Amino acid sequence: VMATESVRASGFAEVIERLIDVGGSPWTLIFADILAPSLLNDGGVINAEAQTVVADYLKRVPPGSVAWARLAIADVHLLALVLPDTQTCRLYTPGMAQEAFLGELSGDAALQAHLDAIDQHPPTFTTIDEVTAKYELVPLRSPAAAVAGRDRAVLVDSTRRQVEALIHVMEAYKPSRLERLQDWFLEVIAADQALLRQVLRFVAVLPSLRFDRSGREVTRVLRENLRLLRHAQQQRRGTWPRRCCWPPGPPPSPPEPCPRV
Amino acid sequence: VATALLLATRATAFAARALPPRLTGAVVDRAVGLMAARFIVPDTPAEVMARLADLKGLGRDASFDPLGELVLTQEEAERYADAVVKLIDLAAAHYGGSAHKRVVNAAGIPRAQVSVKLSALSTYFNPIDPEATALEMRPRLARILRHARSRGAFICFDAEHYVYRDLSLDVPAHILADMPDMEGWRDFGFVVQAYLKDAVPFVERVVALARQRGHRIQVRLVKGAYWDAETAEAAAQDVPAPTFWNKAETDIHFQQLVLYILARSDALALAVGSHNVREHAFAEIARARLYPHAPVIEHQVLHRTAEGLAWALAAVGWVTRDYVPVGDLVLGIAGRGVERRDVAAHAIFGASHPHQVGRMEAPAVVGAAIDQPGRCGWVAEPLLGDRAIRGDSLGSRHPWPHAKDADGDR
Repeated sequence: VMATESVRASGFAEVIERLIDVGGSPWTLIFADILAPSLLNDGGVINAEAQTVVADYLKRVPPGSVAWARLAIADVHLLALVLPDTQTCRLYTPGMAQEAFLGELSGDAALQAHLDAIDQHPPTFTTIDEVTAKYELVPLRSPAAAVAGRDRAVLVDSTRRQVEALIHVMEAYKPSRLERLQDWFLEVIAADQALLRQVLRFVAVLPSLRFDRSGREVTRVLRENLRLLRHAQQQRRGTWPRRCCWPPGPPPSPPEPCPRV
Repeated sequence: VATALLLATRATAFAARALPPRLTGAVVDRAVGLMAARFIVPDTPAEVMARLADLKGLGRDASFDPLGELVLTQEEAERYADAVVKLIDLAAAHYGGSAHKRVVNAAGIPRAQVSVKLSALSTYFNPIDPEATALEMRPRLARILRHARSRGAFICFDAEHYVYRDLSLDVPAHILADMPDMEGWRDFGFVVQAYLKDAVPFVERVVALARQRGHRIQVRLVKGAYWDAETAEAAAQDVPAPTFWNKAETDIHFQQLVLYILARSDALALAVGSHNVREHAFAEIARARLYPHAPVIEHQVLHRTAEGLAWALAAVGWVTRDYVPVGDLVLGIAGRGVERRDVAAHAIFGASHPHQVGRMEAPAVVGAAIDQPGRCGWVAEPLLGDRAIRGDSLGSRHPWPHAKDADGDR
C-alpha cells in the first residue's frame, strides 16, 4: 500500500511521447519513463543511439505492416511495436513486466492505455520478413513474388508433384519386422511426454553405471524412473498416488492462471 | 493407450522388483544396445565396414560422425583425432580411394567422408580467441586434413552451438592457409544451419573462401540441432536468440537458403540435410528449373532415422548419403538423447516407415510454406516472430513449435 501511495503521490509512472525523424517522415515514439535513461539525453530529446537503432528498424518495416522486434539500445534490450497506420512505435520492457508492475501500482490511465495498445496489435511483419528484407532473400512468404524471375506457381506445382512421387516410392519400402517393432515402440514413447522424459533420463544415466557389474544400480535407477513415471500417469488420470501424500489428503489444486504479463 | 501404458509400467516395475538385479541389468543393457545399434555404428572396423557394405548395397554413401564434442582433456582430443583418422582409413579402404584416386559420387564429392566436430579436437575451443584456438588445434587438424588428402576422403566441418559457428569456418581456413602442401585441396565442406537468423553472412563467408581458394566448397544445409540450447541460453542471458522462434520461419528460411546457395553455384555445391521430403523435392526442382548449371545436389539423412525417405531418395536416383554416428552405443544414445533433445525426438524416436513420414508431410500441406503466407507445413499457428519472448506467451501459451518439430530435421 505504501509503495502504491508513493508511486501515485510522486507521479512516478508516466508515459512519454517524442517525435523522431525516419527518412524525412515524423514518427512518434511512446514509452514509459522508466526507459528514459536509455532513450533520452540530458535535454530530454531522443539520444543519437536510440535515433539510429529505432530509425534503422522502422525503415525496414514495409508500409501497412504491424511489426514487432527486440532492439538493443545502450545495452538495454527493449521490445518495439510498430504501428505504421499512426506512424507510432511503442517501446517497452520484455514481457511488459516493468510497465505492468508500475501500471498496477499507479493506476495511471495513460500507462494502461499504452499496455492495452501493445496487447491489441499482433505483428504481421515477423522475423522472417525482417531477415528476408535485410539479406534480400526471395520473399517466399509473399504469394505474388517471382522466384528467380520465374513464375512461382510452376515451382510450387512441380514441387508438390515431386513430393507425391517420392511418397509413392516410399510406400514401396518394406521395413523389417524388427524395424517395425522398434518404430512402434518409439512411436509410443514419442507420443507420451512423461514416458519420453523418463526414458531420456534413464538412458542418460546408463553410461555412468557401467562400474556396477551386479546390476543393482541399474535396477535402482530403473525402479526410480518407473516410480516417477507411474506418478505422472496417475496424476494425468486424476488418481494421485497414495504413497505421495501420506497422510492422505486432497489432490493438489491446479496452479493459478498466469498473470497477463 | 494410457491404460495400456500404465499396465506396462506396472508390469515392468514388478519385473524389476522380482528379477535378480544382475538379470535386470543384462536385459536393460541388451535392450538399449539393440535400439542404439540401429542408429549408431559400434566403433570396430568390422562393424563400420559391414555398415558401409549395407549402404553401398542400398545405393547410398556415408558420412561418419565419430561421437563426441567439447572435450576436456588432451587425451580425449587425441582419441577423437585417432578415431577420425581410423574412419578415414576404413572408408577409403572400402571405396578404394587414395591420394591419386578420388572415388566420387555423381555430385563430384568423394564417397569416403567423415564429419568432424572441431570442439572435440581442442581443449581450448574459445570463440573470443580464434588464433590461440587454431594454434592449439593445429597439429591434430593438420594431421586429419593431410590424412584425408592422402586417402582421397572428404572432411565436413560440422556445425555446433552458435557461439562456435564462426570458429568452425575460421579455424580450418586459417590452418589450411598455413599449409602450402594443401594448396588446391578441395575436399572439405561446411554446415549451414537454417534456424539461424544470420545464416546468410556465414554463407557469404564460405563463398569468399571458395573464391579465394579457387574451387567450389560443399555446404550441407540443415535446419539445426541445438534449438533448445540456443533459446534457453539466450533467455537466461536476456539477449535475443540467434535462432528463429518458429519452426515455420525456419522452414521458409531453409528454402530461401536453398535458392541463395544454388544462385552461387560458381562457388558452392549444395547438400540438403533434412528428413522433410518437401525440402529435398524443392531443392531438386529449384535446381532443375531455375539453376540447371548448378552442381548435382547431395541428399543427406540421419542414418536409419527416416529409412523410408532415404530409401526413396536413392531409389529415384538422387545422390544420397547417410550421416552415421560411430562410437559407443550406450554413450552415444545417451548423448544424443540429452544433449540434443530436439534431435532426440526423431534421431532416437524417428520414423522409418513411409506412412509415418507421409503423415508428417502429407501432400495436402506440401508447398504450404510458399502457398499460404504465414502458415507452413503442420504448424497451425500464425507466425509469431519473436513474440514468444513476451511474458504473456512464453511457456504457457506459446507452443514452442520447434520443440514439437515432427519432420525430423537436423
